[in-house]
Amino acid sequence: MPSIQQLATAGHAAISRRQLLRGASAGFGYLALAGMLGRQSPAAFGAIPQEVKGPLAPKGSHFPVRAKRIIFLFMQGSISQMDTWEYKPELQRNDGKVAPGGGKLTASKFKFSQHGQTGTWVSDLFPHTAQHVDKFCFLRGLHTDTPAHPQAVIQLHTGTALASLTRPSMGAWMMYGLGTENQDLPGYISINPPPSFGGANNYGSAFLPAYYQGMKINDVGFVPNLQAKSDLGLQRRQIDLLQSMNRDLAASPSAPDHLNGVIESYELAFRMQSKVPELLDLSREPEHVRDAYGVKDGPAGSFARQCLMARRLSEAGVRFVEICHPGWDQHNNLHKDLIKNSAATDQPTAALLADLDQRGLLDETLVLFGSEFGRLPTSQGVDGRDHNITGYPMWLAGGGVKAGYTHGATDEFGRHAVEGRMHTMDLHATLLALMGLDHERLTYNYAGRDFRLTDVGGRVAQEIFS
Amino acid sequence: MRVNMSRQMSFAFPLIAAALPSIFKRRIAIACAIAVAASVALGGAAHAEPTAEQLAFFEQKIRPLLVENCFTCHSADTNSQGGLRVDDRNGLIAGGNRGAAVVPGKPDESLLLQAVSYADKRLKMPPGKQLDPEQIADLTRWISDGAAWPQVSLEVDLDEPNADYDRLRREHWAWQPLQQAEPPSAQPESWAVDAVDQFILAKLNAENLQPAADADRLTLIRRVTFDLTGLPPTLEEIDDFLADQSPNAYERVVDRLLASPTYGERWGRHWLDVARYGESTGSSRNIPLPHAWRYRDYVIDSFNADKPYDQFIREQIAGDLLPAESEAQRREQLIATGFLALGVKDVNQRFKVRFIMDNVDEQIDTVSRSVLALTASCARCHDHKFDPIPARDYYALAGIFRSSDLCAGVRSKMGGGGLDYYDPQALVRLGGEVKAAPPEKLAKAKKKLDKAQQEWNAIRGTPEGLAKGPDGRPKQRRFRVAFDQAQQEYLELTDPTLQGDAAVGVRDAKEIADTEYRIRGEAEALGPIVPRGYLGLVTVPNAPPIPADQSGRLELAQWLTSPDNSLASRVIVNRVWRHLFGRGIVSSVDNFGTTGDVPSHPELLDHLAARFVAEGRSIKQLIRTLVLTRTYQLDSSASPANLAIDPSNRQLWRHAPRRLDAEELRDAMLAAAGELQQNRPEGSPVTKLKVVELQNNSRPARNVEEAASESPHRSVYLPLVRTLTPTSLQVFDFAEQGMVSGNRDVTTVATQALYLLNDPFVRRHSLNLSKRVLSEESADEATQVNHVYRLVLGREATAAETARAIEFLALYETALKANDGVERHLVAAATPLAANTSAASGGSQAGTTPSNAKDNEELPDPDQMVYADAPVKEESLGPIDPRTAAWMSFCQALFGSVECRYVK
Repeated sequence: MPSIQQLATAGHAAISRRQLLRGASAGFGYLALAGMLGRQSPAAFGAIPQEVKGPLAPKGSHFPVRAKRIIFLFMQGSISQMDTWEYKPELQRNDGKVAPGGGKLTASKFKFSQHGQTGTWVSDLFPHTAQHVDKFCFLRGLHTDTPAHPQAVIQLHTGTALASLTRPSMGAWMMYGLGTENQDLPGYISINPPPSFGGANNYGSAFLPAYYQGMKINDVGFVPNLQAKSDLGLQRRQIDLLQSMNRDLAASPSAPDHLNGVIESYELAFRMQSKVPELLDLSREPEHVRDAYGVKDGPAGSFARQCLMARRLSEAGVRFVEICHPGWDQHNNLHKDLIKNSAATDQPTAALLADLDQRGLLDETLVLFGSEFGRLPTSQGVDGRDHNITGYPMWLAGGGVKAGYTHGATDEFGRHAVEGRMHTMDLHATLLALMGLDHERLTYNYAGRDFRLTDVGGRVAQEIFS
Repeated sequence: MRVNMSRQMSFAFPLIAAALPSIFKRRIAIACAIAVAASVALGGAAHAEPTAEQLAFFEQKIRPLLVENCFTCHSADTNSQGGLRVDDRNGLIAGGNRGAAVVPGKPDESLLLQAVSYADKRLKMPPGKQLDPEQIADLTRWISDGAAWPQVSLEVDLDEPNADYDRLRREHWAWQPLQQAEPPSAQPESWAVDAVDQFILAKLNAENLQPAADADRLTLIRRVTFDLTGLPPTLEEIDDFLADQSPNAYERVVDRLLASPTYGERWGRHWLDVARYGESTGSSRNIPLPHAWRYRDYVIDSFNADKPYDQFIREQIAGDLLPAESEAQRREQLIATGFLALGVKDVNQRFKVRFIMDNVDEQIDTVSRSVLALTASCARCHDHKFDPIPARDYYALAGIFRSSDLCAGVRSKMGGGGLDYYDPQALVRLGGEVKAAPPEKLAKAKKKLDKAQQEWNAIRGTPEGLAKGPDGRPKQRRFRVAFDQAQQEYLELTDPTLQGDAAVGVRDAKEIADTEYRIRGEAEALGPIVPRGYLGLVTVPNAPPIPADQSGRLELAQWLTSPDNSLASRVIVNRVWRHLFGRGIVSSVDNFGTTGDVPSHPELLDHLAARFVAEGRSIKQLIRTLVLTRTYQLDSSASPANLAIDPSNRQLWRHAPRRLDAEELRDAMLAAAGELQQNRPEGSPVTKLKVVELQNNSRPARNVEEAASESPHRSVYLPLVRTLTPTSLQVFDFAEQGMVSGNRDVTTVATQALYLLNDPFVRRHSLNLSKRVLSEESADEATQVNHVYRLVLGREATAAETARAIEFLALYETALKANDGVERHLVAAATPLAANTSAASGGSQAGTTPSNAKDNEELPDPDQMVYADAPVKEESLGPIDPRTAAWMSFCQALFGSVECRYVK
């Protein structure tokens, strides 16, 4: 049985029809693409050609698709859950006392109040986002392996932090499993990713073919080599010339296998030059929308711009968009920095949720908000909290998850996950399942072994499915 | 279930039966005795079985005490301050940065007791709240009594035979001795020029396939020149060959190419793919390896010298242990061991033992896959599931590498900053007598360093340190600066690289020992000691025994390169074949195991392997043989009849066209533009970097990227910082720098087209090419067009192509004039990013600076970084006239054409 990548890797393009059919009979090959889920984008930016082929063509799923797209709001540095989403009355009551396991319990200095029908407690750092709590599905029992940012960031993105083998990022796995909805756009985009902690590995494809890697753009929408360096009319002439050379070659008996793919890639590149900047051009949004997100120039408007770009990209059919707000690592200056960071993220996050909802996109778009790990209920220094990998939350909203739902819990002080525990691998398995992929079947053979995003672990938290 | 395990696992080291996936062969018998099985050695030291009484004492007094007072900072779930963990007995014995926390039976030597006694003012634990005397007495008693710790112990029977394994060893093709088959006869008999052709033709006969015609001479010289040197033939070389009608003209071309230094640059790069060459540690903290380039040059030189392959491998595994006849040879052999040191490393690892065992694993993976095409590192956690490699064999190899010191110039430290990861002592010194610094001076510098470090540690993160000073910066900042300064001064006295040459590599460790089997591959979970040795799956008669006083790398190298190691010979001839025919006889070139592909021509593979050994394991000779075959010289045309039978050309009825590698395409553009500098640049841009974490958007990273973009040298010399692969290579499926890569992917993506349309490198050299051609006086336009075709594609333009080009040039020029008369952006536009970019500035703490700060700024705490993309460098070559612009566009179109990118 040929593995999926043997079918998809262009390096071995010539495949017999028999092989192809055998591959397709697994429900997951080239022939499985027609009429499959994930093909139609409601506000399609570019119509999907009927005969999309190749490694990025939309592919069939293992499970019913609950979410077609993901937007991951990555709070790099580890947001203090004790001061935001995790209300612990016992912690508030026992401020200053010795914690079980050591350390001094430190209550949040921020005021918590209940919101929505669910009466979910949220601190006053996130007043705008709190208005959406009834849409949230909280995962409150997360835990991971390494209490250091570099490894934890890599593990969150690739499944493992083991240095001896770089693994593909989760977005790359989704691209590999599902293909892209819009062939005119990259299917996987990471805006403003951390320049360290694994850097490009966090959106890379590692041993998966390069088709599946994420494209990095910055928070003003800069993409390397995307800007035409000639007048577009002149460049079109140039492309016409080189395409006529390519077509000449295509007629020869020694034409290389990938020639048609190259011809297509030039046309796509040409279209991308205008379409991608258009998509990333926030001035095309009405003023009231930009104001709702809080879009402005400069560093202070970074996250707002990223949120609005994310909506535009997602709406156009980009499968996986990750945006990033760094600087949540409050070993000190907890109070002041939380105010500053939440001021930069609250309104845009809320606006993104409202905007997706209003456009009817939230049902099929999964929004994920969270960090590489959490922080402790105990104090560090005068005004800080240290890392905690044994219990911390994230929240999901939209595509396929129960709204107004909480899965898992930490102990009375918020230190250890005690119920509904989910390891990073469980989170990955669940995200894949929401996208319609079975983490145990989404494999790629490398170095003699079938690799998975979830390695040998992972449990899908079915409980959260709507 | 796994979840709950992990907590218990981190607490008491051993494993629980249920934690093992049931798929594993159940040869690890679980004995839930509250005792350490006799076969399990802990820390390599004898460990008497604890009594029930001792264990009760531990559970009642010691465990609660440790949990209550120490776990917050010293456990696998926390930061493990100082690299110490107390949730595991081995963790206590191994200790942290200061040394062993517990020495069983020796309370006086146990740092733990020193710390809790508050005797040393620099080491008071737990901080702020001393244990009461009774608790200290309990700890003392516990240590005196042997530091009992309950175990769910294991009896690991490592010797139980595995029926499957025996069968696989006997039956799997790759591990059998070479079969010497006579070259078969095939029709027509006159077709074959070498035995290789007979093997190929016989299969073609059997499958009813007709070999393609011979390639024309123009195709042939372009093919063989790219294949052997990675460069296009020059116009003179083409003309000479076309004019040379002598029967051995082609042979002479081949010999010329093999003798050219450009050969080593091409074939050395193939090995660098396999050797997962990179110039930084990659992974969580990307630390530059400024001396790695010496290994790169060593590889290139070795190919050019046609070093016998066995010697080449021996040097890379054990160059430091080989005799040397000259200083130059000694140096060369030391550099060769860089092979073992260049892998991806997690220098931010908390626990030293994990850092060591992860690096050992990386070495085993690299050696086994590169030389033997075996995935031995699968046996780190359990017996290999598919191939007969028991975990015992893995740990036999691990003992060899564990007995060697990795000298990459880095050390592990969690949460380090600045020069913390730099360890100049962990480098291989090449020579130049390193003069010891005057002792007084050294002592003074050391004293200053210790003081600065203490002061920095004392104030770091404290309220006082974080308070703002008069200059508006946190007060602690000047202590960090002083510490960095003192570190720098001390390094200047002690850093061998500043006083002579250094390289990355390995050397035998002070302590030579067999190592323990690690349960589930967990570095701290020790099983029985496994004697050092080799993989049992390849039988090499008279393999040398491993001496007690050496690591065993030399013997491993001899075992790997024994003429009787048929697997190693098959693997290398297959690698060479792959680079000449586009696909290996075994297509999974890095995996000859049972999950790999089977050979398309097994007899041919063995024939070549035997011939290779018989001919002195000369790579050049092997290449020469292969490119002189008729098979290699076939045309690439596909006939419908053959396509119907064998569409993927597995039987080699034609020479399949191949896409140029990223390096070849870049080098070819430089060559066509007349800009390629063929001399070897000295060192690497990475040599200039400080050994501090490299952020992808920092100024130093930008410098490396710009150096890559502007380099006129061959691509093999571009800087290769992991995760910062130069764009020109990255977009065309360059080898993943963290992995053994005998095959590169060939993908077609839009970013390649965007690169060829818009990248400054392509634009610049299109302009250079157009200028080169336009500078030819007295040439008419048709001649100039033809010249561009020859320079870019190595062939003449047809009449139709010339007419099309001339029409294009005229229309382009006219259109440009009608616009505004100048090409709008010539090379690269300035991108106004600086003002707008950067993320929110939250989280910046004392002592941090934006990442695009100047080089000499204080080094920030890397976990506290606020980052922003630095502006893209503006590059413009100034306005050019419409005619030149039209020519530039034409030249670029040719660079972008598929024909330029393929060799047929």
